[in-house]
Amino acid sequence: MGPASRYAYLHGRVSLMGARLLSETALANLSQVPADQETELLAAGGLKPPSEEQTVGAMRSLEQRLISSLLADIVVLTRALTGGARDFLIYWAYRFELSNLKTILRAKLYGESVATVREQLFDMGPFARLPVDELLRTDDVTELLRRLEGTPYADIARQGRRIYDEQHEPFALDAAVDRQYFAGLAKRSREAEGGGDPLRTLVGNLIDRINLLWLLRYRFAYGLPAGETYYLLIPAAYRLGGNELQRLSQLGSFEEVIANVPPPWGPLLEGAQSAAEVTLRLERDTWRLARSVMARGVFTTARAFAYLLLREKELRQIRAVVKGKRLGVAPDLVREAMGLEAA
Amino acid sequence: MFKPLPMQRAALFMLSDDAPLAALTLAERGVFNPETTHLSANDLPEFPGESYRELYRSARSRLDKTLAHCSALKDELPMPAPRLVSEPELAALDEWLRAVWTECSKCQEGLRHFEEERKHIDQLLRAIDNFAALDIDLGLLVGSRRFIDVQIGTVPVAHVARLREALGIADYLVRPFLEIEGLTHLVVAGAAGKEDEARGVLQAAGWRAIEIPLELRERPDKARRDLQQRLDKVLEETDLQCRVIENTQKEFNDRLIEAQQVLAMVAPYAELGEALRARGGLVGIGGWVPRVDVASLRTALEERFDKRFVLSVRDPRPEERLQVPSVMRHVWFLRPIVQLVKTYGVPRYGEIDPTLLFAITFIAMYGMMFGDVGHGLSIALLGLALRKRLRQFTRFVVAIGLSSASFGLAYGSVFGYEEWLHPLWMSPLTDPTRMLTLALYWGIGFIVLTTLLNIRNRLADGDWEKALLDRGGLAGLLFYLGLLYAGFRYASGAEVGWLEGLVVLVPYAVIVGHIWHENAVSLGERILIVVIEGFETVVKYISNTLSFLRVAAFSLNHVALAIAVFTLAGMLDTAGHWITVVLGNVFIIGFEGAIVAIQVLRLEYYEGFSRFYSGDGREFRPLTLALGSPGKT
Repeated sequence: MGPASRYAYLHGRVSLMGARLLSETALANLSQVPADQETELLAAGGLKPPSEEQTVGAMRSLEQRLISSLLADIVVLTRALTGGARDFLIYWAYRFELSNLKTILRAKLYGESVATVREQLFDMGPFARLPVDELLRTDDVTELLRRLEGTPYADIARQGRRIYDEQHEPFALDAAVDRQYFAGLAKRSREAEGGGDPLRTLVGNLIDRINLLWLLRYRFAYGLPAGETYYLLIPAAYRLGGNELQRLSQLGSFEEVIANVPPPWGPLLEGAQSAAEVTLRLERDTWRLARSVMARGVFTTARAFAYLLLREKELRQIRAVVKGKRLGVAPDLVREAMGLEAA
Repeated sequence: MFKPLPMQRAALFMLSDDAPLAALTLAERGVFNPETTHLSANDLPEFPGESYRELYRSARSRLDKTLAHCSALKDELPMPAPRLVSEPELAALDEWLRAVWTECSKCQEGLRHFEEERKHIDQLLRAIDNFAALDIDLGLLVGSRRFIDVQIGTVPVAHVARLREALGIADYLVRPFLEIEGLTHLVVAGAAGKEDEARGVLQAAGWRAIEIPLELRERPDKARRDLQQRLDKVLEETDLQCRVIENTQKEFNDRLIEAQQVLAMVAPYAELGEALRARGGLVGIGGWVPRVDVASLRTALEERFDKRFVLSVRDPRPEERLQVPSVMRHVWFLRPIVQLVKTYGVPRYGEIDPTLLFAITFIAMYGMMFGDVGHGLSIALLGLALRKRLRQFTRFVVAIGLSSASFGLAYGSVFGYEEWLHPLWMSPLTDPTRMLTLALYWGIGFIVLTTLLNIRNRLADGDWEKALLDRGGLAGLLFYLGLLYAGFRYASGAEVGWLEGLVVLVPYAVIVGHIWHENAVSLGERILIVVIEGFETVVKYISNTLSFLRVAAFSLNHVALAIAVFTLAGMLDTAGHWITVVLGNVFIIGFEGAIVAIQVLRLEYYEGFSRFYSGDGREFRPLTLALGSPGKT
């Protein structure tokens, strides 16, 4: 069975779902239209209009709805897949669960109440694997990590325990969790049957982007030494291979790193002044790449992944515009938060 | 027996002070399933007892964790007379449980620490011999150096390559020399002054330093003895920790039993959750009660509260249908089957309860596929012998054994011997085509019956559209019957003309039209869904029918397996012959018996239940007075 017949259904679904994505213009309009006219625009993106309220609860519920919407898309897409490709997309959904895990870990470190933490957690629906109640009812971090060893996150628990024993720092725990997750994503992308070059390019773009950002943060925001910075990066070599990252880790300033980043990132980041600016430029590049994978119409898992990246981007932009408008933030700032080109 | 019990929506109003006692009364009766109340939020806007509930959750969780740690408590404990537990008493209990659990948690952490230490020393002992493999002067590894920093330790194997690269940045050299149980032993060395930089990398890589015994170079035996002593000490400390656990069990046993009893009495009020609403001194409790139990519940409340309550009940409204919990009460014989049905799902309220159908068809199909007097009686006797372990499933195992024995009489088979008994009907292998035809008829009958049940369930739901037009509804049934009619005509050599085409295509057009209508999405997506689901409808009906051929296939397989055993036995001498016959029959009973059970279960779930049974009902979970955690009872 060739890729065309194997992925025909997935291809069909991705094309149809992709057609629902809001254009840059529609998103830009969303930041300008009054709240009562949002309904039509959001409905085009498969979303109900958000509440008019400005409360933390309402914003949280908006965030939950956006994540649920993305998870629902993943459910639909995974139905059309089997084997490694399916595992890859499901693993992508677990990213939100890791965010829950980090919230619980932090809460235990700072002794927050169960009720407060529960409000901050996302409902993972069919992708829930964490025994959230059990973890919330633990009395301290060591007990939490012990419990976590009995879950699919046992590797993270073991790694986290060692780091917690030695450093007691939420940053170190967060970094270990993320590093383990993205290393797993790279591994699964290699195992995804039919993933092929476009998937490798997309995942590579994502991981290179994260590595570059982490490198800047670890070195110049946290002041970590070069060796430690390099070790904490995701151990997966794409365009930014080990040698490149080692070389960049040893440079002494933010500007020096930016000036020495190899192509294609170098020209893209020229003149960037802050980590936020670097993030935005790199994200735009990922979205551009995802759009090109979607447009090429190849019959692989990469199109489904590209769609999910774009859908997530769209949902984040919707969240930014809704939140910004409800809180009365200036339209220019909203557009900036949405990552849209300047008006 | 054919559908869940009729339920009533109940609303109980009373004084706030009486609510905890009312919860206990409801739990004693065990017929009230609390439900987030339908009472108006404007009339009763408050949710009382939130702090009490939080204390209960915290104490329950700590008790469960402690009980899992101390396994000395008896399983069956007496439940004392119910009494009210005040919030201060509950808070004190929670605090005590916190202290107890802290001790237990320390024990667990201690045991984990000792276990890691044991592994570490074990690794060291195994590594000592391999130090010789290091091509360096061991003296360099011991003690501090002025110009060079040398360390020896372990990291997980997967981290070595990255560690080497990262330490390379700090001008450190890395030399692995041994790999044991996923850990690599390494020597790292670099110029003094960069220890801090190296330490960060090593920590992130999960580095564990190995202390080189000073005597290792000159007196390796002494070093080994010291390590052995360290290991003995760790084992001793582990034993000590275990004794601490035992002592904890003994010390706290009685109070933990008491805590279980107290929490069992707290649970009903705490479990009411949002089903309990209030305004000032008045509370309302919402829930569901089986209609047959309403009178007895009212009497119990009257006995305890006289006239100080109002209990109103009503039938469920159509829009509440999916919220109504389902109560499945069956005669003793069917109770184990209920467990198997629940594995698939709980019937929706008003939906046909498939327990009886499941029992009849499962037992019948098992007998058909595994028909042998000897094997069947063996299964029945095995079920009786293991009754303590099987508990309520004993009667189910005995039933399938007897069914197998009955079909064995029909097939004339005893432990695979076909000549001992004259068949009441025929041996499957004598006419396989007949067996396959019968299995096909059985499958057709099964599918028609389950589709009829689906139509009935959809009508009960008030979903006329699905009942009539869906592929699992009347249109689907007519399409299936049309397909069978046309297929039968074609197979029997009769002319297949416009009438046959019509009886297939008309209902099929209805099905496709319905799929089109119910998927109000963009045109492209609609066409895609209609094509895929329309095709799937045809494939599913055909493949589901053919699936039932396995009923005949397994009955043939059963005989064929017996023949294989006898063929092997026939090649051996007398002793070998009988040993082969006995072992062969044991194999057939154990291996084939299990496979047949799985196949029947598959037919029931996928070819049966998936057609008519939504299984998305809510199980009736009444308040009860039980010692275990509510989630675990």
